[in-house]
Amino acid sequence: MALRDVDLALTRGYLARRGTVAGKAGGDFDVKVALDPLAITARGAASISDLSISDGPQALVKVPRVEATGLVYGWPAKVSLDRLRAQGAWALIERGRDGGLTLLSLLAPATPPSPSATRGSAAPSAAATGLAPEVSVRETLVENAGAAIVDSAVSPATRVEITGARLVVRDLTWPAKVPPRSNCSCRRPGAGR
Amino acid sequence: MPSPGGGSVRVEGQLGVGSRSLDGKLVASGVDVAPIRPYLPVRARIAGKAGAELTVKVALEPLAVAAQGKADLQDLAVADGDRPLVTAARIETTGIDYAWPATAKIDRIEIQKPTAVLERRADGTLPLGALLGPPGVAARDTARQAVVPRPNPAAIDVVVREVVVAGGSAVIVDGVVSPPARAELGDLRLTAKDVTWPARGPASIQLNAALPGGGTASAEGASAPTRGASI
Repeated sequence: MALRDVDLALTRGYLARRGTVAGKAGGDFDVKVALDPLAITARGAASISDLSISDGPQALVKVPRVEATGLVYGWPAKVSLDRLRAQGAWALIERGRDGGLTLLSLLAPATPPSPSATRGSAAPSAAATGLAPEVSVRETLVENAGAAIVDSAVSPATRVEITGARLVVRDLTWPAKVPPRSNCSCRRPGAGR
Repeated sequence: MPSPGGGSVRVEGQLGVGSRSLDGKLVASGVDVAPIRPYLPVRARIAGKAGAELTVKVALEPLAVAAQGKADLQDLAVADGDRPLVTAARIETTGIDYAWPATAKIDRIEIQKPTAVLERRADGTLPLGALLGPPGVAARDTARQAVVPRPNPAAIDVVVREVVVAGGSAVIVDGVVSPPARAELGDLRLTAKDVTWPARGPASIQLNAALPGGGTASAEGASAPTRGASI
């Protein structure tokens, strides 16, 4: 199976998080489907172009290209990756006046629509349906990344820019099963590495 | 001769000795398929207008019917009540070799401009899947009504060399999540070869579709009756 330029807007109902995910995905997979009982497995490689995670109109994460290799998917929500590589990622890491990290708040479950908005439907959110994703990544490599770190909890607010960051994380699991091992290096303008 | 619901059927042929057999040609057009619903092994309401050009042989004792030729079905609708879940502008079937009661070999079926609504309800049930199940008393009725057994339909045995779907579209609605996820697929093209019903051998499948937002999906693989599909 080959997928090209799949709009990630299609996944919004399943991610059920406050942040808005955008981008175009593609991939090549060997898929096996059994109907009784239902079982779907897929193996292959996937990529996402122009990935962004936004809070309203403001993008907090932008990644021009993400590539995943050694992908193994099992129905309904189990994914393991051999290698996840992100190039040119940028993130706005902001601590708000209340001390909370804006980026983490995007991962909070979305507020369900009001009953009137769904015409009385009692459909539960993806989180409420028991669809618990299980993800593992042997190696995550983030190259040439940048970030703006803003702390609005102090006065005046501080802002630090970092560029050229390289992050390697090994044995990443979600939900966390084992502590991942990570290594990070970055540059700050005028402040060395 | 006019047929119920419109259309016409013309049979020309020759009766055998003692009127116990018939060799003839059947030409039908615009025949309403509603009267055959009780013979179909599905719960759905089927609507459409059928046509055919068939060479027919009929013997009465023992009963045997054989037909060869081509047939078409226009404005097909597979409906849940009054709500069509599958439609097709036209289905052309060529190279038909039919034998009574429900055995058919078909060379090619071309399905033009089909549409489908593939819905998963909030409770996880699939309306289309239920409609394509065997007819019987609906589950919600069994608590209030006595079950009246229906005669079993004849065992169907169909072999199709090639099925082609062109110009199709589908709406996928997943009500399990809130708000319901919805995706519209366009320009659906499917080619399946060596299709059997009941499934008893691998059928090869090629599928292409346009996705919302300008993406595309393509799949190539085979279905296996005991193992599902590999794509």
